[in-house]
Amino acid sequence: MANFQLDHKTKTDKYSYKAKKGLSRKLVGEISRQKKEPEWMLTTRLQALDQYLKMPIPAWGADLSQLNFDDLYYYLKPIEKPYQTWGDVPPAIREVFEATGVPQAERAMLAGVGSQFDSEVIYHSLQKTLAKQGIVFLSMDEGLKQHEEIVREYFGKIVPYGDNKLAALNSAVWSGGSFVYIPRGVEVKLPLQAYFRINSEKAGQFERTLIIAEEGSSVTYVEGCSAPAYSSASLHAAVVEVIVKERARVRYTTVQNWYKSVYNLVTKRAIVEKDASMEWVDCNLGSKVTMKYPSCVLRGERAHGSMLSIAVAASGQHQDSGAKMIHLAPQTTSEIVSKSISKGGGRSSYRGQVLISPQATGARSRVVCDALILDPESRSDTYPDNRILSGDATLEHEAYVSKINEEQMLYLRSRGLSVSEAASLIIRGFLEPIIQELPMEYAVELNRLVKMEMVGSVG
Amino acid sequence: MKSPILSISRLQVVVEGKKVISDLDLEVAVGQVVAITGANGSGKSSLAQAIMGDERYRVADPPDGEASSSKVTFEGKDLLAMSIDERAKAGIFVAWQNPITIPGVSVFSLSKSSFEARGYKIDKLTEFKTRLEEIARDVGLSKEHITRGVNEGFSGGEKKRLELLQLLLIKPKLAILDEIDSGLDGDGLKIVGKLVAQMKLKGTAFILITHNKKLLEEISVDKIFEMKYGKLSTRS
Amino acid sequence: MNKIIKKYNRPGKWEVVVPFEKIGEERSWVGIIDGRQVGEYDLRVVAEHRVKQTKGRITVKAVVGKGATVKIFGRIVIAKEAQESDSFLQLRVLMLDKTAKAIATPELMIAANNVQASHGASIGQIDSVQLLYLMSRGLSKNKAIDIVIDGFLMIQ
Repeated sequence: MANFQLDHKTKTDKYSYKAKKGLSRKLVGEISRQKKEPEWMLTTRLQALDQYLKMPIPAWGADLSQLNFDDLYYYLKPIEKPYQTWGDVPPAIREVFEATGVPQAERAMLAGVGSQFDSEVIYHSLQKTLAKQGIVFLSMDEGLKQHEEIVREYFGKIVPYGDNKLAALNSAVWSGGSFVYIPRGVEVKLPLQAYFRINSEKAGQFERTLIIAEEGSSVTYVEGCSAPAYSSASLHAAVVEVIVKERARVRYTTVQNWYKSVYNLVTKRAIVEKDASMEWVDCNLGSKVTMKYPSCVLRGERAHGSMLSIAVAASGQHQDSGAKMIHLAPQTTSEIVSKSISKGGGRSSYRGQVLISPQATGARSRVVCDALILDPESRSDTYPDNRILSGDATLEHEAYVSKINEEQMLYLRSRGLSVSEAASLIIRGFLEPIIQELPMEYAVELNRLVKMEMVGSVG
Repeated sequence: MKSPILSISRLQVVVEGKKVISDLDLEVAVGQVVAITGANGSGKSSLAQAIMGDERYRVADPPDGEASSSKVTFEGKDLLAMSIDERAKAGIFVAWQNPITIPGVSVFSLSKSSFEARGYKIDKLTEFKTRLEEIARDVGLSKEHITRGVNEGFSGGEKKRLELLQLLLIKPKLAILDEIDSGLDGDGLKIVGKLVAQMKLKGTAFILITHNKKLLEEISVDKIFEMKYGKLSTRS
Repeated sequence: MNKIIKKYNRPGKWEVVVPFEKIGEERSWVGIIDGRQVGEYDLRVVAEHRVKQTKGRITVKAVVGKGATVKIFGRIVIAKEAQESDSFLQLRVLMLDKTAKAIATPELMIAANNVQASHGASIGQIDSVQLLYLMSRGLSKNKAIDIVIDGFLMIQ
C-alpha cells in the first residue's frame, strides 16, 4: 500500500514567477494575462475585486485580526506549465510531493491525480480508460481553456462573488483547483484525487474547484492539503462549487493538515437536484484558524445532503466549522455528524444551520455533534441554528460535550494499556464512524496524525 | 502450601469516605481456585476493584496504630506500588461485573492491544484473527462479534462471554471473576466450569466472586471464603 | 432538586436566566409553550454554570398551531471554574399544522473539561400510531389530538 503523508517538513525555494506582495487591480490583470484567459473571466475577476474591497470582514466566527491581508503573496507560479509524467516535474518540487506519497498512491489506487503547488497545478493525469468515457479531470485553468462554455455556465453561479468577503477574494485572484465533469450516467469507480500544498511563506492559495455531475452519474473526489512549518501567516481561501444533477451522487472528501500558521477560510457549496445526493466528508486537523461550513442546497425533491466531519483543535488552534443544509423541496433529507476534539488550549466550535423552507414538506433532518475536551485549558462550543418553516418536517438534533469516559479508561487500563494508549484507542473509537468513510490511505494517515496529536495530551 | 501468587495482609479499603474492606488477609497459591461468597454490599466486588488497581478504591492503613500496614504482594512484588496497567501487564486479569461499552473500538482492536500489552508478539495478524475467532466459538460468541464495537449492542450474557474470551486469550497468572455468572445461562455456566478447569491445569489461579451456588456446582473449588462487612472468614 | 415550571399560553417574548452560583447546586427548569394561537412565541433561556459540581436540567416543550411561530433559544454556558458540572437542555416541539414554524437554537459554550453537557432538540408531528391507538379506543381524531397535546404539555 502507498506510503502517504501530509507532513510539515519539506519545502523549496524555486519559482518561475513570484508576484510582489499585496493585492491590486494590476496584479489581478497580470494573473489573467499570464493564464491567457478569455475576456469575461478577467471582467469577473475585476468585479469580484471591487466587491472584495467593499465588504467587511465577518464579525462572527474566529478571530482574523492577526491576518495581514497586505502582507501576502497573492500569486506564486512554481513552473511554466503542468506536466503529464511525474519524471518531468523539476526535482526540487518532486521531492516535496514525494514526501506525501503522491505518485505511488496514483499507481496503487486512484483514477486520476492533480497536484497543486502554491498557485499552480503542476501535475495532472487521468487514467486513459476514464478519459475515453468522457470524464474530464483537469486543473481549473485547463478546464477553462478546454471547456469554456461549461465553465462559463456554472462558474460563480453556485457561490457568487458577493456571497462573502473571502469568496469575493477568491473570485478575484483564483488560481488552480480542479475542474471535474462527469457525463450522464457515468459512474467513476475509483476516487479522483488532488493534493494542495502551500510551499512559500506568507503565501495565499486561492484554488477554485468546480465539479459537475450530470444526471445519473457518480464520482468521489478526495483532496489532501498540507503546508510546511513557517511562523508567519498564510491564507488558504478556496471556493468549491458542486452541481449534482438528478439522480447523481457526489462525495467530496477533504483531509486538511495545514501548518498552524495558515488561515483556512473556505466556501464550499453544492446544489443538489431531484433524487440526487451530496456527501461532504471533512477532516480538519491543521491550520491556525479554519472557518468552513460546507453546504448543500437541496433544490430537488428527495434530494439528500450529508456532512461527516472531524475537527481537532490543539494549542493555538481554532476550528470553527460546521455545515449548512438548506431544504427547498419536498421530501428532502439531510444528516450532519460532527466529531470534534479540543486539547492543549485549542478551541473547537460547531456552527451549523438547518433551514427547512415552507415548500419543503415532509423534509427530515438529523444532526449529531459530539465533542471531547481533553483538558481544562480547552473549550468547545456548539452553535446550531434550526429553522423549521414547514409544519410537516421533522428535525432531530443532539449534542454532547464531555471528557474521555473514565470507566472506559479504567477498563482498557485493566487490560494492560497505559493511560495514553487507552486514551488513543478511545479517541480513535470516537472518530471511527467518520474515519471508516475515508479512502484507505487517508484513514491510515489520519489515524497516524491523530495519534501524534494525542501524545502527551492525556495523563 | 505451594508458594502464594497473591498475598494480602491487613488490607483496608476506603471508597468515597466509606470503609468497604477492613483488615482482610488472603493467600492464593499458584493454580489455586478460591471462591468468595457473600451478600450484596459485603465488599466482594470492592476487593476485586482494589486488586485491579481502581484508584477510587483507596488502600488505607489499619486504624489501630500498629507498625504494620496494608500489604499486597503479587509474585513477591509490591502490588500496591503498581498502576492498573502495570498490574495487568504483570499477569492479573479481572473479568468485570458490569463490562463497559466502548463505541468505535472493535473487539478485535481491544483483543490485539490487550494481547500485546501482556508481552505476547503477533507474527501474523491473520493467524491472530483466526485464533480469536476460535476462542469466540469456544465461549459462544460469533465471528461477527469480533468486528463490532466492544459491548456495543451486546446482551448481558454476551458481555460476560466477551470477558471470558479475553480471559482465554490473555492467559493471566491470576484471574478474578467478579459475578461472572450473572447474565449467563446454564450453557454459559458450563463453559465457565470447563474454562476454569482447563486453565487451572496450566497454572492460572482464580478468585471467583459470586453469590450463586449453581456456579460453585460447576466448578471444583479449592477453598471457599465468606465475606461479611468487609471481612473474610472461612466457610464451613 | 429545585424545580421550576413556567407556562406560556399567549404570543410574546421572554428571557430567562438560570444561574448556578452555589457549589453543588442542582436546578431544574421547565418551560411549556402552548402555541395554539396565531402569533410569535419567542423564548430565550440560558443556564449559566459558574461554579463547581452544579447540575442543571432544562426542558422546553412547545406545541405550534396554525399560523404560529415558536422561537426557542436555549444556551448552556459552563465556565472554566465550573468543573464537575452536569447540564442537559432539551427542546421538544410538536407541529400541529402545515403552517406552523419553529426555530430552535440550542447552544453549548463549554470551557471546562471534567463536565457533561448535552442538548437535544426534536421537532416533529404527533405520532400517528398514538393517534391510531386512541381512536381505536373510540375517541374522535380531534379528541385524540387534544389528549396527546395535553399530555405533552403536562396539563392535568
